[in-house]
Amino acid sequence: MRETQALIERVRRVSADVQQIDLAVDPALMQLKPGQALFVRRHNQHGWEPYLRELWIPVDMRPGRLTVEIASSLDAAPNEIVDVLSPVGRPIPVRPRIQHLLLIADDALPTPFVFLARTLSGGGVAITLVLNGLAARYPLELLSPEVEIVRGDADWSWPDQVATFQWADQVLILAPGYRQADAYGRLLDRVRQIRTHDLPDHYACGLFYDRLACGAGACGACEVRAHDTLLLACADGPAIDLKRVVFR
Amino acid sequence: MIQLTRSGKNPLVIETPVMPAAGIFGFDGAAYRDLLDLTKLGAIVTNPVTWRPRRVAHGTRVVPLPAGVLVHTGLPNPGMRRTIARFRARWARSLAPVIVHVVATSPAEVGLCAAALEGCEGVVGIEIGLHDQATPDDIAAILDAARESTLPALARVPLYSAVESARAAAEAGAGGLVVAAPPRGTVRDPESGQLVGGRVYGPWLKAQALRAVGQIARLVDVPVIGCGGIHSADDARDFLEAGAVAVQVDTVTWVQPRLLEVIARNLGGLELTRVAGALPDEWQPGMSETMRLLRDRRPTLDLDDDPPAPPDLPE
Repeated sequence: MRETQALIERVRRVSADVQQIDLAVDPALMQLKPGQALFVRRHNQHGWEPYLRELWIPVDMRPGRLTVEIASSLDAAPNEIVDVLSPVGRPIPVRPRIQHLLLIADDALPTPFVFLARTLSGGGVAITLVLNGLAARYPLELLSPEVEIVRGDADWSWPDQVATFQWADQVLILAPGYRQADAYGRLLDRVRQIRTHDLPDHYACGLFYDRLACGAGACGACEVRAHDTLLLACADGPAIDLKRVVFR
Repeated sequence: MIQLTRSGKNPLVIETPVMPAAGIFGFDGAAYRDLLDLTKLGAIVTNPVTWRPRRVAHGTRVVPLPAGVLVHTGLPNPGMRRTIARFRARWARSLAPVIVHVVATSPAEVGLCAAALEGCEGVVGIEIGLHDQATPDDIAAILDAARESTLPALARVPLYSAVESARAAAEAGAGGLVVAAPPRGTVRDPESGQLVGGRVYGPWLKAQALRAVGQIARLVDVPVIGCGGIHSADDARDFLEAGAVAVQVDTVTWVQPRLLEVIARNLGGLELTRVAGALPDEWQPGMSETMRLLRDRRPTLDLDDDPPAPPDLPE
């Protein structure tokens, strides 16, 4: 992890919920991979409100420039300089020779999937994105046109659900912190019912974008309960194999 | 040199009066080794460790507050034996002396922890985190158990019973006092809508911690380490002026990691700059890099050349 500065070049409000920000960044940030994020604080901030750093998630990357997506309720203005700690987290572990990827956004805006979908669809991976609850409010024009969109309903079902699980080489799910135990546990149960004999590593991963305190792996506040070892969402995540997670 | 514990056979001495507080810096400081110079810290205080492993708390653990934060982790740690197994080699190689924070769950477990830490290279002391409801008898029993190790023991007292706890800890033989552990609070998590309890941090905490340090420093003849709400070198210096021998910096390290190093460098030169009457804030982030660049670019002086003529000055 290192500390750099970035310049906000452009702010676009893309929906009632989110805004996209173009950042001129240090060349080191061009190494970011899907899943990794920036931990940001205003450079000339006076006082201590807001106190904690904000997690800014990249959705696109061009030479010298990074586009991130944040909640529209957060203040950001062009020409503002921000202090950036990065990278937070590890790249999402995409299974080798993957052809079909199933993404599920359960009551959370699918921002963390945008960069991943853009990166993988360029490599010929077929991607299906299921939008449940709040996720259905996300503006679809921000996603790669190759991504197939499926709308789920409140009781966690969507058309051809069994077929989508059988067809997928990997499943990634995203839910807000207070729903993770329920949604991620339900996904793992569903996957185990369908793939009874074969559940390879990283087949079903949950994304743990919890509210971070330190973002550096020091405080332990983002620990994910795991069977085998201590896992931190900020250092070992955000994507964690659901086979390793304790949901009780 | 700063003595953190009272004089005796084995006092705890550090070079710089600044260190991170328990729970802020991880178990070995590795999380911050790329963000600040660990050699400038007086010590590294580890995350809290218990004799038995502890899992992380369920539910929301971090809630933003106006100019602060509430944190409720449940003190996750792999237990003292696994902690030692995992970090012993790193502590031995640590760039700053290590003080292990032991949670005072019971006298027996504190004794086991203290004994287990005996002989760990790089570990220079134990900080015992006293429970908010600890009575003077509890404190005496816990500090007595800590004598299972020859390592000097600091007692971290809770803020809202700081004076009584500090007096009890001093009478029970604590080598030094950390004043104070952050207080507990309860807030509603805006995401889940649930009420969440935990420890609260922020710059507003400084006024209360500073008062407690001043009271305790006058009351007991034991070195006091100030902790709570420090967000600048001036904040830290206020604690020294109130009677602390050193300070622990807490959550501002998460927000601006370099500030911990700035405070450590600043207070590291405090005695010299105060005596000389110079400005105390001599060091700023990046200054060392600038000086190094200037030095590297400076052409070599040719001693055979005549020195440049002095400019004409008006009489």
